[in-house]
Amino acid sequence: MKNLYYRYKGANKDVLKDINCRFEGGQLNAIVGPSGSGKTTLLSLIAGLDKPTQGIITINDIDLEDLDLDEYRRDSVSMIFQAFQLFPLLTALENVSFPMEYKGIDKNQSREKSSKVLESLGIDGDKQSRYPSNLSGGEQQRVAIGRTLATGAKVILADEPTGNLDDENSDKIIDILKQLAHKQGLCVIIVTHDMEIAEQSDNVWRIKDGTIEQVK
Amino acid sequence: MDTYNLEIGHKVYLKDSASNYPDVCGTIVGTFEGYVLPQYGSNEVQWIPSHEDEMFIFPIDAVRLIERNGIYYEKIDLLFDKEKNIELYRNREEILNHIAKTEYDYSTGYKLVLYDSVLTETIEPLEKNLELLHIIYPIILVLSLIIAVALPYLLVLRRSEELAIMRILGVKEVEVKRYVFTESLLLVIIGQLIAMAVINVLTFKSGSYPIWKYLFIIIGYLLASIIGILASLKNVLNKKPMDMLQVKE
Repeated sequence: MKNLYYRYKGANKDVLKDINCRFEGGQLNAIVGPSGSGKTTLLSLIAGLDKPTQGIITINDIDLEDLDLDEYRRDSVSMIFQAFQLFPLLTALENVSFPMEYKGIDKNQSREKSSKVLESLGIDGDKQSRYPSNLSGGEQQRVAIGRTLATGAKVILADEPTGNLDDENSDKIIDILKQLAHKQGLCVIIVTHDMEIAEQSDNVWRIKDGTIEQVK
Repeated sequence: MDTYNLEIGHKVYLKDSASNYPDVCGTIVGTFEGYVLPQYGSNEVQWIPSHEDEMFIFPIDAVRLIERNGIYYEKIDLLFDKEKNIELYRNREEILNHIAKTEYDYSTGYKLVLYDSVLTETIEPLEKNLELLHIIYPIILVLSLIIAVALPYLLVLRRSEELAIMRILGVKEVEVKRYVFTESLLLVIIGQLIAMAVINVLTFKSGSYPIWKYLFIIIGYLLASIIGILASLKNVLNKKPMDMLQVKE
């Protein structure tokens, strides 16, 4: 990200000011900062859900402006949220399989791959055919992670992924994210309030009053 | 004049002097005025008090017999009070045409007159109800159209999180629109089919519902629903996915 600025329409103040940073693959990155500091806005800019007022974002040296952002979100970047955001009327397996089926991958093939992904995350057996409402918070978040993995994305953006979880499940989720970064070489960016998560991350960035600085 | 002291509203039982004709009974609802004896087929009707230029009193079933078997007359009239019997008066021509079906070329100069003095008592409350329905129907129609717009609007709005997730997963906006539009429209059409089936069952005894009314209601409701779906889609997809998910900083 270079010289990034963002201002909401009609606002008279920038939410993000002169943001310059680089996130590497194979690392767990944490962005910390108080509420309203612009963390989630930064995440949505990286995800291509919004466009910066000024400045550029590049991925593998390609400007996001030059990419089809729908395709970019389908193939390169994926998000997980505090509230899991799974499709309530699809089973765990169908939720994970959805992005692949949307891409046109054969249904049986995508279900098979989804099942393996879910198994690797500890969601196996009949749990795969359960609806999100019949899974615990930790399980739902693992399904959400499974969905990001099924897309084949190289960048995972996590917005307070442990915010709705107890300590045990939080640890499990962070372990999974760490493994994805360290073993599979993914670039994982976590937005969090939790300083414990920040401590476990390879890089920590702090946003304050719209500006960012690396603190670890 | 022999009228048996009968008045409009009396219940009567008339026995035919010729055994091969059915007896009739019913309520007297009007009078029959003629110049020669009324004919029942080719026979003179004996049981109706008769005399040239005299007034007859007819029970309703006798009127039905006239319609069915044909007593020939050349002039018919309905003496309905215009003020009191608005609905009957409005349908005057229709009633006259209906009775006139029994008229033949070789008519004998009867004049059929139906009075309404008793009918008024029965029909007046019905007309009041009809007047009320004339006020209620447009209100119901407007309410239905509002519901037809609002319901799909709210249904799509309720799914805004789901649509946001789809957008975040890289589903193109046009495809999200197509998916939601098709699904919502399908729900509306299924709802309409169920409603039509229910209306058919409810109106089974009271006669068939005119097809043009069906079409008017179905097309009107469908158009209103489409407006609701499109308006909601526009509203929902104009928002940023993160706002739709209500993700706070």
